[in-house]
Amino acid sequence: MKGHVTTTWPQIFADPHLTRHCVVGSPFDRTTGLNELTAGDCVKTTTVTSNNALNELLFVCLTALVVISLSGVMITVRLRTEQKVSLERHQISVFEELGVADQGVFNDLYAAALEIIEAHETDEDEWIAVKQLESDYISPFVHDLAWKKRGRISWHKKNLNSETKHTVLYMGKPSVRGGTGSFLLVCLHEHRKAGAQTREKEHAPFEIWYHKSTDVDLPQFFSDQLLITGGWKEVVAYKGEDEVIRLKGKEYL
Amino acid sequence: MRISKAGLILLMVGLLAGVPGLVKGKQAFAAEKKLRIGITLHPYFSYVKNIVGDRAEVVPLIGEGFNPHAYKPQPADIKKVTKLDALVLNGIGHDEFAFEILEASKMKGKIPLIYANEGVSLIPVTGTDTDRKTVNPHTFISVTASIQQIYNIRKKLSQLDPANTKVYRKNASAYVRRLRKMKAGYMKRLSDLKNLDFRCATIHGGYDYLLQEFGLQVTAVIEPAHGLKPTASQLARTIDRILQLNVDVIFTEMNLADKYIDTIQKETGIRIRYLSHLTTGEYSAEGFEKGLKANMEALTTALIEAHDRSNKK
Ligand SMILES: [Fe+2]
Repeated sequence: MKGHVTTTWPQIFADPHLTRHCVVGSPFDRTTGLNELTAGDCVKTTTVTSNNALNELLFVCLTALVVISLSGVMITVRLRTEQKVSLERHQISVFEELGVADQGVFNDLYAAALEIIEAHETDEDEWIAVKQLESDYISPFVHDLAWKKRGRISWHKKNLNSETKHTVLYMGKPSVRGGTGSFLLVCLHEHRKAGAQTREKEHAPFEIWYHKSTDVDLPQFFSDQLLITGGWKEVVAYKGEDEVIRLKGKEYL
Repeated sequence: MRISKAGLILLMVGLLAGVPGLVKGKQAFAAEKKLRIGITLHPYFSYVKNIVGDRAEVVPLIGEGFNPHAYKPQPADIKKVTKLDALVLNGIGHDEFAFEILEASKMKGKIPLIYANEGVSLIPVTGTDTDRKTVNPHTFISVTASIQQIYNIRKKLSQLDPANTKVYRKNASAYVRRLRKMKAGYMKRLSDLKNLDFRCATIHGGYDYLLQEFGLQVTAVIEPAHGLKPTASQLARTIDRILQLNVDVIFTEMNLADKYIDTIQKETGIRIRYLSHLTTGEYSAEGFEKGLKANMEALTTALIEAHDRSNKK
């Protein structure tokens, strides 16, 4: 090939979403085989100024175009296979959006919710007290090393039980600023009167909400709308079943 | 052939009378017959055994002493899986062999699969030198994530074996309480540590859940991907990285003897300690507690050591 040749390295910048939906999966992912192209990778294209052959220039431009559009397709395919839980506007992903300390509080609180519900089921109508949670060594309530490293969160409980609905709030806010926000655990379920048909539960037995601020008040009642307007976000976990579906497909669940 | 009307009625009555007896017989059989619950990894043996006690049988899918990171199914495994009533598995990247066995035995869809991690909140592997977030499948090396799995498995087993629901619930609660107490004991020993910036490297990226519940985080992982050895150039880069990151201790695997670990030690001069992946040795009810206790001991000692060293400075 004759003529003046310049080489340029146009960066294909990742869609801002790509950094949010971080790449998941082993770098040696055999299932997709799409790991050659990574966010921030450069695609090398060559611009050739030809002396006389216009079609040569055209050919090179066309090749470049094909390469670029192919990369685009690959990025979208990747996004699809690696996207995590889909979120509503009032939700936040623990896996992707919370920092390490917040993630730790969340995972502890998530396990604690199971214990709180377990205790409620054995001891009818009661919701375990914060003091009791501490003395039963249940994190994040117990004052241990992890508690100290995560803002010394102080917890308050509010019982909102009614005759047919059992609801309890446990709210924790950090007493020192240090990388954690505030958390709200809501456990709720319905009790129907004797003789009434028990239906499948319509909601999850518990929810965890998060607030960036360390200065929040314990809500006086529980409603999604109240929390959302108050700046709370519902925390969504990336769970084992999400990963099974991603790796194996729905037929394996 | 002609059957008289009376004969036909007699036959019907006889058949109907036999049905309840048949159903009853089946129920009695179900009550007596213990469930055979398969498991893929050692911790699951301990979890399930502690939940069911002697009310069900726990059957390891593969023999002792195999490395779950690189296990290839054998014909005997395929036969074994056909005789199970349920299989408890990790399902998020730590027991690929189970899926191979299910496919090979054509048992996929025929046997209830209990995913231990269903409903468990997963976190990424930290300390790798990429920005990619990879799910860490080692939820079985921790107390908090184990508690979530134990409750989940207990619930699923109660659905399969409702007659034993109460027993399973009681056993699971006692087991969970024991695990919590064990962790609290180590936490107590660490209660005087103040403002410690603890930095550790691990050979295997398996300890994020354990470190997380101590309020800590892994600073660097040395293997380039789950279960893989670093190449010479990767090793050189890793050594630079851990020196730069000012790591206090390097945790290697209990059963991993490899030259490259000696190289790292020689080049960095950083103290080596051991953590257990908890997937080797005998399958036993107390295996998980013993292994986890040793891990917490190693971590606690390393923390106190790092604390004393930083106070001397
Ligand atoms: Fe592993």
